[in-house]
Amino acid sequence: MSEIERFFEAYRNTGESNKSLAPYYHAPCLTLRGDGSFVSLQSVDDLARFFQTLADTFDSQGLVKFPYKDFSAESLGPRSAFVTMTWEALKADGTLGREWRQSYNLVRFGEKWEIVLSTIHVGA
Amino acid sequence: MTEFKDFLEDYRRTWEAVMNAGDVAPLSRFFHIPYFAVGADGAITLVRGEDEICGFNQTRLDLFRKDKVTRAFSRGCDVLTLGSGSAMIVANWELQRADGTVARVWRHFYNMARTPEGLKILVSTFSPGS
Repeated sequence: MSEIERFFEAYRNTGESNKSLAPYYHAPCLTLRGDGSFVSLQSVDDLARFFQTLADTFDSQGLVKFPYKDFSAESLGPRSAFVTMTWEALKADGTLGREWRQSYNLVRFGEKWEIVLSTIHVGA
Repeated sequence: MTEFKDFLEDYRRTWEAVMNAGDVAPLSRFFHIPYFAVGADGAITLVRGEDEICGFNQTRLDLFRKDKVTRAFSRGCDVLTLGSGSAMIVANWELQRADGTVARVWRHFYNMARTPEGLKILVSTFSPGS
């Protein structure tokens, strides 16, 4: 398993454990959301609030497991990577609640990879 | 997809004009604020305002002028669409001097998205030695 795959396995496990995904993101960072809007998250507090809202939304919809498929990762240089995958959000009984395709630009800061841009594929 | 390629061609033409006129201000409209640039050495530049965009591009222009560059070519361009409103473009740049000699060659990845103000570059990633 590559370093980037391990990053996203940890990311998925963190999400499924109801812990904040904020540490996986650089502050500031950009997200392109499913409704086509941009969110610019400028600080660690912004990130914490954003991911708490996201976690609350998933929780209210009974979504508890987040496997992904069709994973691809491309190196864009020594400290940069581009990753695309399809997320599945499952309910406790295993039924599919949501599915979407998302890309991530990651940069290595020191020894740590962080997401600087996430892009939900709108209309894909 | 044509829209994204047209954007890159507009960007190329604008850079060529900037290299000859010396004023980097026309480049600002291509960039989202904030904007991230990942450099050849992996260094990250975060640009948070229009003044910083101009400063960032002025540094690049100074390098190009030192190399006596006058023309920019995009040698092949791949577009990976990320849904309907976003894309990553891979551009292979070649900068030439007036006598046609090649001064610089590199690959650049641009993540861009459609905004209310038109297409904007959100993240650019320099790939050295490509």
